Amino acid sequence: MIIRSDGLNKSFRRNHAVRGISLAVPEGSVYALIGQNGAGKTTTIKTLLNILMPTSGEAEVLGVDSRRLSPAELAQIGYVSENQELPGKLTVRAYLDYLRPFYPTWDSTLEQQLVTGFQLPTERWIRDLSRGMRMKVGLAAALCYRPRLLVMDEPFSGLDPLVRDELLQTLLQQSKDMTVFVSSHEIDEIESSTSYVGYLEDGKLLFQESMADLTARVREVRVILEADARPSGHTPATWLNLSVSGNVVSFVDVRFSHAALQEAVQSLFPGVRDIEAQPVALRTIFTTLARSRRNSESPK
Amino acid sequence: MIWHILKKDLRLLWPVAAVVAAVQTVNAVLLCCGGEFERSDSPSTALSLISNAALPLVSLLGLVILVIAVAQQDRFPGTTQDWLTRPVARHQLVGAKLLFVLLVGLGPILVCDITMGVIAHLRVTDVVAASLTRSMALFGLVCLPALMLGIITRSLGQALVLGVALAVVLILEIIAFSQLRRDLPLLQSGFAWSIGLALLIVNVLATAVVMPLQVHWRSTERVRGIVVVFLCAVPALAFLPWSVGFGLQQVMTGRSSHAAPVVQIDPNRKTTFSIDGPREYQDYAKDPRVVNLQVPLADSTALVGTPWALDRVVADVIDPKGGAVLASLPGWAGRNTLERTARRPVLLQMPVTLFQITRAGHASIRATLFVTTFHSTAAQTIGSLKGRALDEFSRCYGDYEKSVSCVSTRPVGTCVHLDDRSSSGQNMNDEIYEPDYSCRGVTYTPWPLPLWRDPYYTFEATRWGSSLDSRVLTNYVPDAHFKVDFEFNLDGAIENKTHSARSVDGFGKEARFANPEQIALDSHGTVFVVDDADSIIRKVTPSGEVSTYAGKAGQIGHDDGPSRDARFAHPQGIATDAADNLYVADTGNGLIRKISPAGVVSTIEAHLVRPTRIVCGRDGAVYVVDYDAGGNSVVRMVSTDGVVSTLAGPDGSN
Repeated sequence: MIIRSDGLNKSFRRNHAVRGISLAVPEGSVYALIGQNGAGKTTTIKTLLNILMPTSGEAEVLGVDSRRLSPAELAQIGYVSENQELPGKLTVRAYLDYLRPFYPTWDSTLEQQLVTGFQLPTERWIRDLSRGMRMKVGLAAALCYRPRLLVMDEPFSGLDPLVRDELLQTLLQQSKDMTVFVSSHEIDEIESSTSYVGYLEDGKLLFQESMADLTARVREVRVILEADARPSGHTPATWLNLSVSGNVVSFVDVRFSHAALQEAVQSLFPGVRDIEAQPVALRTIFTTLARSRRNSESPK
Repeated sequence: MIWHILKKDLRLLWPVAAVVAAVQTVNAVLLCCGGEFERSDSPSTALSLISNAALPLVSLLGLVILVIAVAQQDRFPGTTQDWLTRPVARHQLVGAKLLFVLLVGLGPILVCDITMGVIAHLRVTDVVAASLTRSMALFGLVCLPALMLGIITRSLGQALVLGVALAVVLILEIIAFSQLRRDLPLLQSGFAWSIGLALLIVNVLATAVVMPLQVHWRSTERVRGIVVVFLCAVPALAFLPWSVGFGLQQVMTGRSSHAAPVVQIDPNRKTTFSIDGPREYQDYAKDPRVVNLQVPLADSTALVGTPWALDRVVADVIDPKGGAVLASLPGWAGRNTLERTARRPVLLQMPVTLFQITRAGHASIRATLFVTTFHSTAAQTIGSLKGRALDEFSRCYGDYEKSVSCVSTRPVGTCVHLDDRSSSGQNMNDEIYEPDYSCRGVTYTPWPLPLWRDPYYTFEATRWGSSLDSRVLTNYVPDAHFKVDFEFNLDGAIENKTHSARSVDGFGKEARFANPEQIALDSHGTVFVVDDADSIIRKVTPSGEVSTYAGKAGQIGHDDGPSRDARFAHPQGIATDAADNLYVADTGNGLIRKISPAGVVSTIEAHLVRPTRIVCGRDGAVYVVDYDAGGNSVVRMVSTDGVVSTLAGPDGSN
């Protein structure tokens, strides 16, 4: 595991931002940490990178205790964040020139490719660049030394689709040999390349698994009945977002098994005409989980 | 990597650095072209205001801003800075910041200082030493606190607001401390210089604590608390007891403290009490509040020619019957006592109320002086005295020789004293003169002493913030600290300093004598009377005319010369020899004075304690009643060449 944490906690006085997170990010994977705003994604990443000290628990990054990350490890880690403060009074060229000596693996050819590809205005001050352009600078500055681990914190947030595509395309091209750990609530863009997913909510990691397992166990189910009907008993807890419209019952089954689904549907609904179970997009999983959570917390 | 980070900071901050360097350069040019060595009390010209006040202030403020800015280029508080996830070693980052402050912040100042000194034709080594000293002081006293402010704040505005808030707190603290002080604080003692050193040490220590806390653990809130507590506690340094400075000095001087000579102050030598008081008390006789002790140190051979400072005085009022201490009174040696040469009295101001003394009856005062001597570290030559300084000096000292020597009584060399040995008796009636002049020279301090201005002396042009703050020619470091005990008997020793002469010249019954002690007759039948109270020699002609022959009524001194210009100190004996020379037992000065028939007063170089009665022998020698060190009466013979021998008495030693 290139990132591993065990019971990681981070509190700001009485605010528990991260609660006992145990992460396992395999090397070479693209790991998406998803969650709503305020779920604790940024705090988790900053704690992993030793920007924040954990309140308790422990984490290892590149096999080193996160609290003891040295320049040797940081030289193998790329970090791109929506809140990253780049030195605004440096030009893009000066910024890259400044960073270059810190990284033994800096690839000047790649640097030139990225500068050209992103069409970076090298002689302009960073503070005068648009937000999208600054993100490009940040990504370029993180890719030039071909890091083993690329950590991205909401990298596409607030960017226009064109820039987003451009960044994503470049990221996908360059991420072949690296581990990408990305937090985002913009899921569509990363879904196709994501191999692992962790779902964070209210500081807790509700689940983490490979995309294959996730898409295999989560299905959007549509049950067509002979006539209008209501469930005759309690529906399973794994059925989320249950809705009934005439003779059609829809829900998301987060523990999908064909036999178990049929049995449960037959027992709850008389006169089942058809059962359709479709794979679900990551965005749908995310929104379903978020909505379900919100509903369960709302006053009854 | 340190150099690499420094270059990045310079790329970002070069406009600020350039402005600071330019201001310093302009200031140096102005000082070299005419603003230099301006007297602080001279009429303010626009040029002097700019070169001595405005530009140094701007330069200092610019330096502070530059230091804060460089610290905040890679900001420490916060979690969004780019450098936090870069492979930048923290110690290299701190090293780069410190190097930037030294090279870019202080470098131009150092260069300007050295250039100014070289242009002023001062010795290069001295100039370099002085400039390095100033840079070191700026680094410790200005840059380090600014660096601390910089690393605990997020922006320049935040740092300046915090700095102003702290300054307000410091001012309030100083006011509060000054109201609360009871004993002689360090600031008012001879060890005031040690505050600067202590401040420097505290700054370095605080930075050494704050930097790692903030840089490695980035615990901003805790570090802010430490910095605020530290900066608020700093003023307390000025109000530490004087003994702290003494301890510091002992640590610094090491073994030399133990090699200090013991000062011998003879209590039986002339000891004069005079009553003085605050100006609001017009009638001293009725309500005297302060006793001023004039302690002649003429024979304190250990101190002759040695720069020394009197740091503290404690006066105990002793009951002579039982020896018990009736009262213990702290006193202090004011600015008048910092530098004295032989035969110059030391004026100790002690708030001894006469009420306490008289209530004790025949009490005595045992004064304990705490004296610091200094040894020279380097002798330098004064460049010149200029302009008004010369005029003022001439006014006070008359026709003096221009080859004055200058010494400093502060180890960090901030005050200059003009030795009056060349004044040929033209000095001011035994008043202790405070020279106030400007001169050229250079100050430097042996490492690691910081430059620190003596708050008492104001001789030098105020060159705050400019290159050569003080013009001191010889630098001294504290050599030793030792105390001297001596006692004064109060019996009959109290006299009114402000009394008018009681002697009246005239014919026959019109004449008055204050306190005639002895008379002598010459071969022409003229009677000479020695008057103890008025310190004069009176002459009574055979026809009955009484006149003042030598000295001036009520004025004490030891000056030789024409009889009218000569001064005596309560003489009690007089005699004539066969050639009509007069010999005066100058009791107060412990001297034998000779007055030729032509009326010229000279001093016989004989070391006596307290001669009273005197006669002349046929062999040319004079015989006096004197006292030994223990206060016993002895009879001594003084040969024509000044050799003293004891004829009779319990103690033959002088």
